[in-house]
Amino acid sequence: MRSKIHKEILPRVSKPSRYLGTEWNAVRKSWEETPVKMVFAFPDLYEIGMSHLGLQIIYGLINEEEDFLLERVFTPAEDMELQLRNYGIPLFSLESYRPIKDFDVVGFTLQYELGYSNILNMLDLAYIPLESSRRDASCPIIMAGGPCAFNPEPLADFIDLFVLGDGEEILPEILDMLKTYKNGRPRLRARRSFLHAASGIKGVYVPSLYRASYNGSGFFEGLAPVMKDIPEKITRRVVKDLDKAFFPHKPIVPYLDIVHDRIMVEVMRGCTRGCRFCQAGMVYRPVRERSPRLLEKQIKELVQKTGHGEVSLTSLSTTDYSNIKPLLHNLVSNYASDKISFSLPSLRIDTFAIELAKLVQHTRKTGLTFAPEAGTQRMRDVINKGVTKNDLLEATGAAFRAGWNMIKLYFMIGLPTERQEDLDGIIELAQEVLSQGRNLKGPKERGRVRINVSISSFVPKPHTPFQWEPQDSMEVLRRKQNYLRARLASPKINLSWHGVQMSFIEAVFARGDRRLAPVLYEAWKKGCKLDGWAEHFRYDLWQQSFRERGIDPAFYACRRLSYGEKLPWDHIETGVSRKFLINEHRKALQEAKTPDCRFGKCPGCGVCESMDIEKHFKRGRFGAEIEN
Amino acid sequence: MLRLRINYAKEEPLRFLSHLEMLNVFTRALRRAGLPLAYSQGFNPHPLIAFGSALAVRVTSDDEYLDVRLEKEIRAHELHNLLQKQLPEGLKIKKVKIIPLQTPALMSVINRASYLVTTPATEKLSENALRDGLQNFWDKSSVVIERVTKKGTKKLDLRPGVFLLEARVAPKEVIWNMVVSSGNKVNIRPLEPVKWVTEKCCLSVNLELAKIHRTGLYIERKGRKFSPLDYVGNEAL
Repeated sequence: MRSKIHKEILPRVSKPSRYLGTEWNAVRKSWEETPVKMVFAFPDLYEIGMSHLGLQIIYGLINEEEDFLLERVFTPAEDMELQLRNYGIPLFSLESYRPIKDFDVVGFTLQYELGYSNILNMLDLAYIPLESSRRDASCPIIMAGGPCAFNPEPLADFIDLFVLGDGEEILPEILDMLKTYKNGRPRLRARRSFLHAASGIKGVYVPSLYRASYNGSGFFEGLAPVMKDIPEKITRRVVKDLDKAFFPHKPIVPYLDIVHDRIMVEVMRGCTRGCRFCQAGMVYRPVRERSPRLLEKQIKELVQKTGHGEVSLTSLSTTDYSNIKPLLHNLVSNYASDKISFSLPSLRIDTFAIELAKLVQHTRKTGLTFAPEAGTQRMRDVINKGVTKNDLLEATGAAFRAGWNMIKLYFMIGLPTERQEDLDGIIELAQEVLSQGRNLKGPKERGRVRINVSISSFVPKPHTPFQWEPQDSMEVLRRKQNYLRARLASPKINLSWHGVQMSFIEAVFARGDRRLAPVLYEAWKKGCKLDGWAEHFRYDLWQQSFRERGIDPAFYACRRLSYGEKLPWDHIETGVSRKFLINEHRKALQEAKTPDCRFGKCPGCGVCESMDIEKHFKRGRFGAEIEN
Repeated sequence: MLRLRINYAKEEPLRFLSHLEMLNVFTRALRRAGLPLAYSQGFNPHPLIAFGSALAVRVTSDDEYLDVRLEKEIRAHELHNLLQKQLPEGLKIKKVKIIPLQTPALMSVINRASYLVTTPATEKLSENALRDGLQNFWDKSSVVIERVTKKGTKKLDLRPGVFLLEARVAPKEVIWNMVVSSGNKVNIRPLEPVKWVTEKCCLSVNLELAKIHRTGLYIERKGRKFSPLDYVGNEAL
């Protein structure tokens, strides 16, 4: 297969190095001698998937186990898909060029809802039946995990087994069990009994073992196990101590220029900020920091093993990491002679963050990014984004003075309780930052000041305080966009948008239930794929699919849910209590803030107690040593 | 500062790598090898690496060149071993040589490339037709083609840039041998003469699936031929 693909197919496709599988640090293990074989399936293009740290973690973790092997597959680009279909070649793994169907497990990662059609398309390209119920012993177990698994229901018909929470914890347990059930034979025969047994592992959800019910008016009524020994609630798995967690010390180094072409080091997991729209901030609690000494050791190893010239310190809010400044100081001075540069994925809105940016960014060309998210103090209080206009202007002022000419501002529209004045607030804030920059700069540089304003639309996400809130209708969102566009028109301000149709489909699937399966199937049949890419997204086909299947998408996206109604994701326990979410939602409507648990008192989300875990801050001596 | 010239081969499966990807591969491999790379000055320092000639995607080669500059002394064979260990399957170092710092850049002196091209045939081929096509090429004093670039199409005369062009019919394919002008001034792409000849004599070969292999890069000065490994710049004086 490899030689045919290399001879006849790769010469005809764009960016063929996506499909080579021989990148530095790629692992090729013996197929015959490894009892359990899994393929990590990323439902998007190579350059997106290879930028994902989770892939590198799982890849290293599983391949270090003697009994397991893990290979990779990504969504093929359109030209590649065409060739595969023309030649009748099944979707294959990159390392051994084997059909996906030959593996024991296919593990999809669910990073965003707009990747769902790619999952169906990849299964189809692999000649694997799309519906779980139609698979037999000749098929792999189709698994899925990642943030979107926190509402798995829209995919329940297509996925055999979901994993919830940190994959490092749970995956080896599942593969171990699979090894036992395979019992030395080339394929798993007892598919059903394996799935049944796996449902007993904490954090595993086997959707076929549950039945959903709906009442006469079309509302979801609940999900019940079809057998006695199946857990009613599924609790997510958590890595308790990031210092002891596996870390990928030999990450794959792609040939192709990917989206994040650099070493990624996870400085902490979780975020304490508590923004009320943010799913990651809720479902990855509590904060667990990695100790700076360990980070330094890991970075040293990663630089040696990859040859990358840039290291990104990643997390949901790296500027909040307890020892960030001494850590960065050390790294920058230790690696100056090797010309290794460091980067921070996002900046907190304060002058401290500018200090850090000054430390790592030698050129001031790329611009600095801030996310005030909303235009007025009232709106920012509603979403619990604990920053003031003053904070922002101090930060941007420091940035302009330090030499930056370009500032990127992220805002969201359609947030709960949004009013006219909140939209005006976005305009005023952007203009204020612009005139601040022009005032602070000398006559030579004044003309170069640019503000990039990026506007996304609010999508209510499960397990957040805003899960009950409706999304604005597309018409309203479009009107708001037009309003901003008309008033922010300036050669010094660049505006960018998220398409409202994409945000709408995202919201439908984010809060969807099992009744969306036929719609997804229909949309895929009609040709929907790569929905996250504007040039491929076909809203008209989605619209037709909803109509033909008699589903009103606005029922999912644009409806205000009541506290009393059952939610399709109620069986998934993140550890954050429902009481806390309701409380946070109420406080939002009262425009009341909740303090950050890093600094203030515990706001009582319940995660530490229910998960029997403590938030980990790595303060203390390290910082002191370096400050001296 | 030390300057080294590396002669290497780019083999399967790396023919699918672009020039930019090759630059990344070497930069990272040199860093992994722990070599004391010299960097450019300025805010955005990059290692001082210079290729001889860009090799297009889909082309393999026996004879590629790369110059690197190091901050510290190292023996040629030491660099050879350290770097080879860090290169992916498909890149083979053939020779490493320390060269004088003032040696002219590879790009500015390499002016000839030889290629072996195999084009799969889509129907039965006639040896005579092929011979006529080649004869036709040599009989002309100019062979103007249109080259499509990102900026648009432009006209180019192939004839003065082709020094050898032979072809023979093998079962199911045509095998071509050529020496063409390469480098900064005139750069002939190997499929350009192939396309002209096959169209002239109506041979149906598949250019999309052609296998292109560069067999040599060299420097021609006043009728003499030099390997980039030996040429230091004063030979033509």
